[in-house]
Amino acid sequence: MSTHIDPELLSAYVDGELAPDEVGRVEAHLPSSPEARVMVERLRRLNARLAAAYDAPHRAPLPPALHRSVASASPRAWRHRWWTAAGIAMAASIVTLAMFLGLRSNEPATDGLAPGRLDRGSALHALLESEPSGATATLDSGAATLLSSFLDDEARPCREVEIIGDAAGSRTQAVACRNDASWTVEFAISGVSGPAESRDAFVPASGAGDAAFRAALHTLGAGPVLGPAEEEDLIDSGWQLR
Amino acid sequence: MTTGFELDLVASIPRLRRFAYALTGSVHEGDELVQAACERALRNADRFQQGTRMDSWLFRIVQNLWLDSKRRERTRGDQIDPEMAALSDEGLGARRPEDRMMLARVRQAVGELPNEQRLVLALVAIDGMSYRDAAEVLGLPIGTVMSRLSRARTHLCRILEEPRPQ
Repeated sequence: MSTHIDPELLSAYVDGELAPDEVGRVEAHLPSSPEARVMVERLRRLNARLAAAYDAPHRAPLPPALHRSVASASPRAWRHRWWTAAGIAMAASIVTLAMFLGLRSNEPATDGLAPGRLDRGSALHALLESEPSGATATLDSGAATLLSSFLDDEARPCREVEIIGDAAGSRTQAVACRNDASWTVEFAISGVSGPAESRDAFVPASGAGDAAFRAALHTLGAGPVLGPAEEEDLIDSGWQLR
Repeated sequence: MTTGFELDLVASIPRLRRFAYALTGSVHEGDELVQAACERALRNADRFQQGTRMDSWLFRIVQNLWLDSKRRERTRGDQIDPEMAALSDEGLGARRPEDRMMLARVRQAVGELPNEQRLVLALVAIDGMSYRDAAEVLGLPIGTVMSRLSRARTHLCRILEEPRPQ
């Protein structure tokens, strides 16, 4: 057999792109050609290095810009979930991506709904801390209504809030959870369409924002909505679980 | 209602991010590219033919956006410092310092490939696409894919197997 090795052939061989008979011919040739064997080894090593060299996106959480439109959720909620079915269910977020790219600020939340720890003196914080579902309050950003309470998969108390903004048609659904005696907005989704009267956070409604919201709740590991008596107990006890 | 289109789009994002990283040499730039591609895909959703491969379509969008940016870059005359881009994997790549240096060299070498070779390499050797799928994304005959790929690899092997100049 000639000593000329076709690099293209070996390249295709290493990629598993050769037909079975071609594979046979290459493998018959290899034992007698150290040069070809070295080339195969180098190609395999290069492939491994290429895979490792561009590994970073798979190891890093999704950057804020790509998921800001759904919710700049706390890292915990997103970190291990993106590649799962629940993460993929966030698909709806992509539709809303064009809608409010660049509109979310990273400033700490006061009455606004940027994700983050709420100022304890804020009206929203007071609402979350002390009022039952159904209660409302006026915030700078609009009229807030508490919709439901539930526990997440770490048994943290969480509450769903809806805010109807002064701007026409603006409706935001947010979830805040309680850590160390203060409330943190975990995520907030704007532009959610559909009827505003639904108290059940899990009721399907039209619009991509709603699907994104449901998916975000799923990611949080949201448990069932607490009934009024349970919720009242929790509020009275200062949100201490027995 | 979440559509199948949206689900497929999001499901492709991990691969698109890696592809964009391979093309740009920067995780951050790659993610910006993917974001732009998603926006374009959403805007042109009606142009996507149901029943065809969504991932091919998306990879093509990323490719075109990247080529556009390379063209603008050339006319503007400013270049990303390849040294900077190559070293940055946000600390998320390999573990040992010597491994990380080798991977940085890999990225630098890939960054120096001609665009057309880099594209083929990113699709086949990094994303793991078959020759046929890569040919479809690139709109090229399979033979061209194979020869560009082989040239890219031969070049990279030569550069990377040499000891680093001290």
